[in-house]
Amino acid sequence: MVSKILLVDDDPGIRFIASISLVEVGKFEALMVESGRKALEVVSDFRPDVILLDVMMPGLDGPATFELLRKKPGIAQVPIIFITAKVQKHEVQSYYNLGAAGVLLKPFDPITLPQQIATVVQSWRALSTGANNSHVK
Amino acid sequence: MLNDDSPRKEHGNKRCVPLPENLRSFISHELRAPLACVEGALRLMSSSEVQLSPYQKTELISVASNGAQQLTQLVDKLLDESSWAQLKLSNSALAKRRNEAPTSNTPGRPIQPQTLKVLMVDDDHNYYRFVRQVLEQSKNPHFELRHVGSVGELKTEDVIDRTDVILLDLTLPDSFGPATVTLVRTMFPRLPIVVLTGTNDEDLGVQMVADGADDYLVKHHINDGQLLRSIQYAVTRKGFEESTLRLAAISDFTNAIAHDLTVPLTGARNVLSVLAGKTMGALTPAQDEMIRTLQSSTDTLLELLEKLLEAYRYDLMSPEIPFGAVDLSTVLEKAMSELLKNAQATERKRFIVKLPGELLSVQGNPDALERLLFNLLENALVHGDDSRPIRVDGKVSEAVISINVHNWGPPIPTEVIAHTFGRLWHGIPGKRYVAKSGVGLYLAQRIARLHGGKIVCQSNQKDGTTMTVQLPVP
Repeated sequence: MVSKILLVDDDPGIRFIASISLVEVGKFEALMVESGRKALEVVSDFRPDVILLDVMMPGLDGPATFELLRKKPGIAQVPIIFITAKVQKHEVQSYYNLGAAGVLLKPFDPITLPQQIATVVQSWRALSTGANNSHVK
Repeated sequence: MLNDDSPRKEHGNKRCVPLPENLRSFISHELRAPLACVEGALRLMSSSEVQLSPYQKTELISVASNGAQQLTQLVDKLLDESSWAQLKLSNSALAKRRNEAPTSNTPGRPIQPQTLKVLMVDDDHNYYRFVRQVLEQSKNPHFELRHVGSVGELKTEDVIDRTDVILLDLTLPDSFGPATVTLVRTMFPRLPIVVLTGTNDEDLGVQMVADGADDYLVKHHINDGQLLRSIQYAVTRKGFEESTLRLAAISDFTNAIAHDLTVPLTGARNVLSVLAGKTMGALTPAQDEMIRTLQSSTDTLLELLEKLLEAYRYDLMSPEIPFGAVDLSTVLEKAMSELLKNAQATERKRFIVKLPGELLSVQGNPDALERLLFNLLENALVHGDDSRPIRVDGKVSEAVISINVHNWGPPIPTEVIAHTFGRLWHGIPGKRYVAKSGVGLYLAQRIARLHGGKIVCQSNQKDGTTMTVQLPVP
């Protein structure tokens, strides 16, 4: 069950749209932050059920933030979903290889976003349990 | 970074030049982020599944508005000639980094280099001396021949920057037979390779071309002329192949823009119409004004994109457009009716058309000529004095058919006239002759040139401004 979501994106417009989508449509408790650095600061206190991570951000980008989040105690098993504008197949694969639970593409539909997140998390959990977490770094 | 690990993709034997990295990044990131804002905000506002507070509504309109503003700036960037120059520059820099052939062949226009740098890979020194003798006889092109004795030596040589074509023997100390072609082709994807083989086996020759050779010659059965021609043709063919692939990559780019921008913008325009119609609920005066501003900027963007894409289409496709007999009176009538289909009666009355009774027939493409005349008429409508008429007349002389489009707009200074036909020229800020898109007159002139004609402009205070399209009599 997903109830708390942390979204990391440097674009204020995207954060606002996602906040309405996640809170009003998905009825989640959502925390929006503007950078990877900020996410690392708040993640341990907020303890999200899932993290949505933008790929291209100034400073710490998505993959770098991902690596650091994974080293945080208690966060290693939290599913992380990348949100990216890029659609190159090999790139999408590289995020999965990193250990991402899923990759969602921009522009996303704010009405169906909560359902998409729930589906990704569900399959990730099923896969993690089935494979005894062997695919997660 | 995209595709850095794969300088080019292979689909069977077909080689594809990847879209330049900066263009990819531009499309994928810079365009998609503001699009995500515009699309997402409009989707939320038009959905009945979410109840938005007045604050949220206002904020979403502001998010969409900012997104549209960013998109406008991005399109401006696309229309800015200097950005394109930069893109082209980075493209060529990128090509160099990616193992590309030396730029002796300009993309889109294969030109035979004055000096051809030949690298011969053969451990047979006698044959090397024979080839050197043959190449030395040629003055134009002049050949520079270098020589290595094995595939292994290619790894240590500065091959890319010093070679236009490789002459490859198949029997080398470290590689034997057709596998040598595959190996060297993998090492140098873009360089022409002419194979020298000892056996006159046609099947083997066909196989080697399939494996990546550009030509093959049977040693001891060739004369001097065949060797020289084979080398030159291999280089020229490669130039054409590169040009074609590059054009395809540019075409992909325009398609990507068309898809990435036009489709969602059209969707956004539809949603805005619904919102402006207040069928989704009442709007405050401020919200109403913002939505109308958004509508106007979306329309402008779509119009700009359409013109830009059309200009690229003519740039890329021009050699292929079909020609036939075209009646200019009919084409003019169609252009006029397209331009005035949504116009006010006062605008319609501004046009006075007087064409000569004789048939104005030229050899050309009717759609392209309609676009040409449409752009000239639109230019007159936009820049002319709206209280005075726009006169369209024509003249047929022995060799030239002319159509004049005259308006009473402010005169264009002589030094500015030449620029008005330049691609993406945006005029001089603060003057009335500022271009709308910087594409219309460029495109018109481009089409006139494709028909063997031209557009000339005369402009002064006393006589007003006349754009004359001159086309050859068939």
